[in-house]
Amino acid sequence: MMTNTPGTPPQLDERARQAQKKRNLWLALALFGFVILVGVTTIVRLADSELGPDGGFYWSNPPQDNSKSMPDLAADNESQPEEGGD
Amino acid sequence: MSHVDTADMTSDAPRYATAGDYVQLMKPRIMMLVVFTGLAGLVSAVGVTGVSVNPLMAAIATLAIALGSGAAGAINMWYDADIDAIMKRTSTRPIPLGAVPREEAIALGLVMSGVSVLLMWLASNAVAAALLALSIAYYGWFYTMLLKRRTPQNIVIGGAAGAFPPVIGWAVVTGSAPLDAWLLFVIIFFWTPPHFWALSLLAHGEYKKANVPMLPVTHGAKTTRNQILAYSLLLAPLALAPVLTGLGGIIYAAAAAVLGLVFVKLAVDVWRSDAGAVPVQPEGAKAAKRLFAFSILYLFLLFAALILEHGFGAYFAMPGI
Repeated sequence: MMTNTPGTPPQLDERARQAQKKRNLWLALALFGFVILVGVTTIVRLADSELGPDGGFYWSNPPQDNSKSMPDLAADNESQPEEGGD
Repeated sequence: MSHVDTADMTSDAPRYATAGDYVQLMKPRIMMLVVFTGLAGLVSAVGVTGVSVNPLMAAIATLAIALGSGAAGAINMWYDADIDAIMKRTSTRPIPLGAVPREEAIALGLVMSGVSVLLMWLASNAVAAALLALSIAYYGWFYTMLLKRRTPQNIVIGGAAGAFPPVIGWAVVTGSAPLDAWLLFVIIFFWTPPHFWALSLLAHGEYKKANVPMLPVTHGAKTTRNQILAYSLLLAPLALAPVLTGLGGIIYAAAAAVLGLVFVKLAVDVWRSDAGAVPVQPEGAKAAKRLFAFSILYLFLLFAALILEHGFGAYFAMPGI
């Protein structure tokens, strides 16, 4: 049982302490599991995604209308004049 | 109906909560049926539409459905702690036992609601997440707090909460909820009253003691038996509707037809019996028990047939449809 005097933190007996420890462990595991799930979900969604039409952010559901084709970033980089060149 | 203080429900001996108590808060048996029907919706959507879904994302979405169901269960146990303590069937739940404080139950319910909806959104799409949030609110707030203690139609209207999982499962795959998904919803919706009223015929004395207006308490056993038969007669043909849209093939059609006939037969047995009579008649109680037990098997086998057809390549279209 928990005993308590005003102004002091609650004192737990051994059984209560053990029960609390177990609960904390389960809570930690649940939180850890949640973090892992969110991480895995993010990785999988990003892996399935494609670069956006503007070459910017990733789309998890790429637009079906491909009238505006994806820019060739490598080609663009090659064609750009180098700044400060002779 | 007023809430009573749950402090006096606890015995003198201290009882410390175990992980099992928190699992019990989430109503694991209901959760299993919810997950199973949700999975059936998901698998059927893949089979019907041909849209593929990442298996890992599907597993996380299914976990989100389970967590959402658990969250709604915890909210229900938090709110109903007073009547749970009065009824024998529910008096061994963690809150009436004094193992888990009510505040922890509501905290668990609210946190898990948020976690489940967030996970669903991350793993699938906003439509599935919104439907999951709606189903949690429907059960945790609309049924538990508004309907249950106010109207004998509580489980008819509230039954919709348990009917959402296949629609959510479908939305996980397609991001929408077409007619086929809602047919599965309708099956569970019409299955709930005969399933639950069969149980309440056995426990109407308990509901009366707790002042919960279940149909046998407010309208008597005979009306309840009539209603059970009426809903069973509606359910049997409705369960065949997926065959007409092509969602169900030959295996599903055979399962729905045979199971429907057995369901109606057991409902007729209850209707002809004196189930719910006072004092309790053993034959009537037996008939109600049989219907209650079979109703669980009915739903399980019906949705198992869909999983078999769409998940294991056993779909053979009905000739002429």
